[in-house]
Amino acid sequence: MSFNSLPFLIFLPVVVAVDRFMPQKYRWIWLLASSYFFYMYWNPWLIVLLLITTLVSYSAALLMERYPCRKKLLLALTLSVCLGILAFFKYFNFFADTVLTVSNFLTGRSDSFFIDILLPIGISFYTFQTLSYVIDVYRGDFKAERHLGWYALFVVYFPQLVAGPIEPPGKLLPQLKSERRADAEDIRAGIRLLLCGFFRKCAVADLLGIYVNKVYANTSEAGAFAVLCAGAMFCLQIYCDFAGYSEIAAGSARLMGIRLTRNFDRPYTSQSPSEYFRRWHISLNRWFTQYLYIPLGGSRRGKWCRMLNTLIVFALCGLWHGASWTYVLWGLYSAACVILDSTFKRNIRNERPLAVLTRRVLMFIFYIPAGLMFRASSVGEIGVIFSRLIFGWETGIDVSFSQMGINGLTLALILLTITAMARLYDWGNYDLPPAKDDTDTARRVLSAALIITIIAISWLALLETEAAAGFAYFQF
Amino acid sequence: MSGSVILESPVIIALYALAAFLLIFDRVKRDTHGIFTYAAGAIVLGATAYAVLTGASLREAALALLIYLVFIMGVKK
Repeated sequence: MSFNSLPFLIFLPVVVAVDRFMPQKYRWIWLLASSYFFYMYWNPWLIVLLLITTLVSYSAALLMERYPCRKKLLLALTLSVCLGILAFFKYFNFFADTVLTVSNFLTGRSDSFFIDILLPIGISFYTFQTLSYVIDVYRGDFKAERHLGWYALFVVYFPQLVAGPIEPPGKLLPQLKSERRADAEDIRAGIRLLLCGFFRKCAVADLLGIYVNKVYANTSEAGAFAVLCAGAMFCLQIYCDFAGYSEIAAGSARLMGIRLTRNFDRPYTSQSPSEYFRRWHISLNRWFTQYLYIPLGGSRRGKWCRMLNTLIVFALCGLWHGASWTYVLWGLYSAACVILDSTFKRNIRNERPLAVLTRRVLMFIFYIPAGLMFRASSVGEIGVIFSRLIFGWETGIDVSFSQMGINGLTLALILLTITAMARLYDWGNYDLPPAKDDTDTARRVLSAALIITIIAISWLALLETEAAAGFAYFQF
Repeated sequence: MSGSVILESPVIIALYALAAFLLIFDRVKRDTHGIFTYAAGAIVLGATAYAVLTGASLREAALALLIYLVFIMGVKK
């Protein structure tokens, strides 16, 4: 069930209302059943993989505590099973196709091979969450959960099941088991977060997506300015899509008294690539840092080792996003940015407002190529789009705008939605301070009313143009 | 913006101007308990509904509401 669908708008209030009055002893049954229902709504058979992952990681963690001398073997087995499932369902065709392309190139043949495998929704997210649990138990950082019901709920808790945030067991499991329920402040914060999330998704991301799609529908004809605008708009689209999803997830959980990790912290105010990745998809970057970058040696073994580790982590992070070389290229480009930044960062510290603004703008421009790569459907398309970006300047700006279908009204709409989205940061704060006075309360109430109306209008407008889209990160 | 229902309707423009005035008034005047902000909100939503009913496109309506949203979120008393 997608967050931006009518069934979810019925499902969430029902789950929250029943959860509020459910005795603690039975709470896990209700939330677990609801979460399985939420997941099975797409395809009931996908639950089998989720159950296998749950049972394997649960048993492995218990056995690690019972037989400490077999810990390594159990960890290796769990990693093989969980990553094996992920590798088969997500990467089999990708690897097979890559091997076949190389062999065709060497032998001059033109064989093709493809198995129609259904990609289970959210598999990368729940696999990483279960791995973080098993690795934490292996390291002795977390005690294995004995109750299968609570553990299964930790794996499948519906607000963060299909697109994160990837929660560490030490943060989510104790909250799930706690008797604490949502208070009035939690309810207010939950509703605010839900509204912010829906606004980002329906009013900003889906709107920008219409114009980005027009450029990508005919890349060979696109002017350089259209490509540049599409890159910039896609950066904002993917941010609003995923940050919107994360806010809806956090808002839904907060209505049940559970606080999820803040996944985005204004990434486009970053002044450097390193800062950008500390603010973007925080839970995934934390996962890669804790469970891959630091075990590889991090930055402790000298400059060259740090560069190599950064390259490995970003290439895998790119591959995590999808089984395509476009994502690997995106990862390598990001790694190159981070390496350059960490190599030269001592020379660019200047805290004057103009310098800060310049660095922020440069950072955004620097990131447009990454957006263009991330959105492309193949390496060939990346080549076409970059050639248009370099050689397509003979096409005028007015022609570029008409290629994207942008007129005066839509341009104003785009600029205003982006401004409103930027202003939402304070309003959608996870812990907004109480209103100072009655006027402040009135402003918040009016903002909420306007946001609800804009979401409704955007939804209707998008349905009218059939441009309402699913969440981009579901495919990962 | 030729063909804009909102810009070509004096009634709708007057209602939006009144709402803007009330918002600014509430910002300047103290001890109003936010009553003018609520009134402005009701006027904006009512005027937008009227605009849509008289033929304004959904995008036009969204644009008007966004202007008020940005304005309200930017106001610090």
